[in-house]
Amino acid sequence: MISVINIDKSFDSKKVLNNLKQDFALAEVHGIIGLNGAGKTTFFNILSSFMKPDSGEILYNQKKISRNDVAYLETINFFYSKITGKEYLEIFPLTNQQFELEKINNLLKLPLNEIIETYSTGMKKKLAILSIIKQDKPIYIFDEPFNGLDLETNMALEIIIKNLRTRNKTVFISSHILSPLISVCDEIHLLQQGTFIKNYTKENFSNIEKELFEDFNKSASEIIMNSV
Amino acid sequence: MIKVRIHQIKRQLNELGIGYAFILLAFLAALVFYVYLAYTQKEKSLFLFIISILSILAIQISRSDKEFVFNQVDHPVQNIFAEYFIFTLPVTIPSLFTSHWFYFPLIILAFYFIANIKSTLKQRTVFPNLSKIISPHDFEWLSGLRKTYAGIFIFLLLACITCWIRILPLIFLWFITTSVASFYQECESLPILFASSNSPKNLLKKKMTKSIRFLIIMFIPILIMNSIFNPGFILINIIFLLIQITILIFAILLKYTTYTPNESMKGNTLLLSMVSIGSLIPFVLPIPLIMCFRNYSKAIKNLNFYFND
Repeated sequence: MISVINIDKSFDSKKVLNNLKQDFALAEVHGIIGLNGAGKTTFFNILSSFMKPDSGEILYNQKKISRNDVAYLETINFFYSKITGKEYLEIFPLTNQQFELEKINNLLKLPLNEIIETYSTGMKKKLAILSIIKQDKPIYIFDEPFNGLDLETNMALEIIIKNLRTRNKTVFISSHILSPLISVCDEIHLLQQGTFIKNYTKENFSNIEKELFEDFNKSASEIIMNSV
Repeated sequence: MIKVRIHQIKRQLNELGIGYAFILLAFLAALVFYVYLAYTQKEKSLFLFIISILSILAIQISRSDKEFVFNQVDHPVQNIFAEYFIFTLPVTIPSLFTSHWFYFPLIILAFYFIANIKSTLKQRTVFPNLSKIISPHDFEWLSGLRKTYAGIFIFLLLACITCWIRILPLIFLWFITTSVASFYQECESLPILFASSNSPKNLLKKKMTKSIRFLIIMFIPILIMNSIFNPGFILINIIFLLIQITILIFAILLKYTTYTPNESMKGNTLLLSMVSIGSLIPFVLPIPLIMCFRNYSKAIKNLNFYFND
């Protein structure tokens, strides 16, 4: 079990996470959804120990979660300048014994011997994903992994996430597009104004869109029809 | 554009704090005085003249904002020229007070021609197999060598060719140290930082020992040759090597003192240049060493912020 216990986090005077609490089952894929500014990335930053909370803690198997427990794919990926894709990957330890770069790159088709500046946005995202999955960790976090990916790589990423679940890994994933989350997640958690307000299990995934966007769709339709 | 640059300098000085700003001012004053003294001598003034032009040429060829300036700014050549003219005044104007005053108009003329150069080096992968010699964990060196290989190669070649002369090869090696110090301005992402080491102390130790090793490998053959040709200069060569190592350590510590993930610490350029130039001025020699000691604990403190679980 991963237990998020009363996490608070503020930036300047703005409270981003507000007494956040939630238990997450292990070996499952958890989708985190919420509007912009709901606190998804801040939650992931704290979950991965990239950031400290103002108060509260996160326990993994009843021990304080450590950076070594987590592989984290950030929303925006930063690569050191003038190094090749292959060199970037070599910086990260190869602890996932199943990982075979050549085979997986036949699928992703990255020019690994070229410097990363020559890569497109989607290629950079693929490279960052490779750097994550070459590491064997019990917890994987993917923050907006589908941004900038082509359709084929979207499918490949969904397969990668499903494969992580079969290897009993716990996966957290956020996306602004619901369809890939519905396809890969076991549970989806709605984050609103820094608090988890609702959890959806597979059986009621179909309600998400309706519940989330019903009011918004009504008012948006009115506004757009009258002003655009 | 000059206004923008002045704002950038103000911001850099604010980032550095008042203590460093005073140190920079002291360095600048010492530099102006040193340049003035150098311009009074025939060989040194010629050397300064060539270096001034080559440095501005290197900046013009590699600057990434050139396309923007030429497309979007009115009178781009005049704007670029004004930048070069104004910001090099501390090292060009002292020549006017010496018998080698004629270098000043020549430098200005050269700057104007350089400001007209529109071509930029394209992004391409040079030395794709460099990581067979240098581990990807030393990404600063891989990246830095790919960026500055031409300059480093030329200076290394010049140092080799002139290794029998007393001081000259050391000056070429100093240019290499300055280039290498600039490798440590880009801050890696947190995943790379955490993949590099488990603790700040260990990280700094690794970075320092590796970089010292690389620098020694590069410099030692030339310094040995120089010492063979000039046996009386062995001690000077040893002191020179120690100073270069100090500059490099300072660059590493400065990077991690100001480390912010994913940022390029341009604010460090000024201080780094001053320390590098200061190493050529005998009476400010201890300053880089003092700053190394000062920055070590600061770097550890800054890194602890990121490393603490």
